[in-house]
Amino acid sequence: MIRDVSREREIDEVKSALISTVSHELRTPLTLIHGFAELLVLRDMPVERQRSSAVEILDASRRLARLIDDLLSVSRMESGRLVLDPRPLDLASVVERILSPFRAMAAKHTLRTKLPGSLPVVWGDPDKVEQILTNLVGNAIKYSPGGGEVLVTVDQDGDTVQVSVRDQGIGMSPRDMGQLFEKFYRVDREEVRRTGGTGLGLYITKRLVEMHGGRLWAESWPGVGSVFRFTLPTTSDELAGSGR
Amino acid sequence: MKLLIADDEPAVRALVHVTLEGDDYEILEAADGVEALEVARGEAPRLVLLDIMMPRLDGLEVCRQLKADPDTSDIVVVMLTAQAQERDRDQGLAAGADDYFTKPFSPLALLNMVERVRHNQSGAD
Repeated sequence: MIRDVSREREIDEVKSALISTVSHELRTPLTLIHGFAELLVLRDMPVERQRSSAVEILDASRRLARLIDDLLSVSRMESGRLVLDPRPLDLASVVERILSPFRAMAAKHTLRTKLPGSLPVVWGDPDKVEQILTNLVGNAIKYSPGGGEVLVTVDQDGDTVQVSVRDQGIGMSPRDMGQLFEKFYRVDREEVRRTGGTGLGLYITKRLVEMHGGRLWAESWPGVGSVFRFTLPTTSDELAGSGR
Repeated sequence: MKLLIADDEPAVRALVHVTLEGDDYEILEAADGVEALEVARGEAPRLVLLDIMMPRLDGLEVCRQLKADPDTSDIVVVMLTAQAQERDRDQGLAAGADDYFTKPFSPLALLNMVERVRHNQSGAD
């Protein structure tokens, strides 16, 4: 039997690159937890400083937890263990539902929707469609630190529905756009670093859209803003009575 | 003593700030490699704490350029990085770094190192 050694070697290389990236990504929040905790334990500090150090520890812990969640999602996706549970969905109500926590938190942003009077029923996994939308709206807010409008539009396009999330944020260069959906890719900018993302969100989002048979893509203008668009298939099935 | 912390993570810069808080240090900051070189050349700090993976120009290259220029070659350069493997350490030292801290690091160990530099004008030891 002939074994494909080059293929095995390739897999090994991908694996070791992943482990090296992950350990780097884990070390940064760990540095902050270790560092600020050590200062709290060994140093006399004014109460205000103690508080801000504890906030740094909390932020870094959340970042670690997010990174682990995202890594597990990626691993489930790539091994085919993540399975959709699709059903007929009323997309308009999903959009409204995911927007309300953002509306409560985002002081500098106006969140608007543009939904047609009647939309066809969409075929999707409710949790995953929420995750897709939450991720895109979250990014739109995160990457428009100056505030502005975030507009979610839903349109019918043949036998699919197209959703777009538009912001008035920092935008991206063509170079960033090329690598946007790659694992661990993060735009090399101070504003982006400060948000403490894992570099996995868009990769996961794109995979989730594709598992639904849809497409996700983006357009962007540096300094003007970005639009992320995705499609979902429609269905002729009726909506279940509840959940509207 | 003037000291520059170059790291693209604002929270790591904040950690160094809190660690070295007091009257003994004037702390300058840079968020990427190009900025680090500019500040190091313009402000002539005694010590630079240098992250390796930074936008625009990585820390190893910043170190090489500082050490190659007679105007800046006396600046003590300490790499502060998440690259934890032996090979990475060797690369840092080959680039001319005087010392090497791996993340996560102990702030008090960092403080001790910085104090040594402050008390010993001749170098890292």
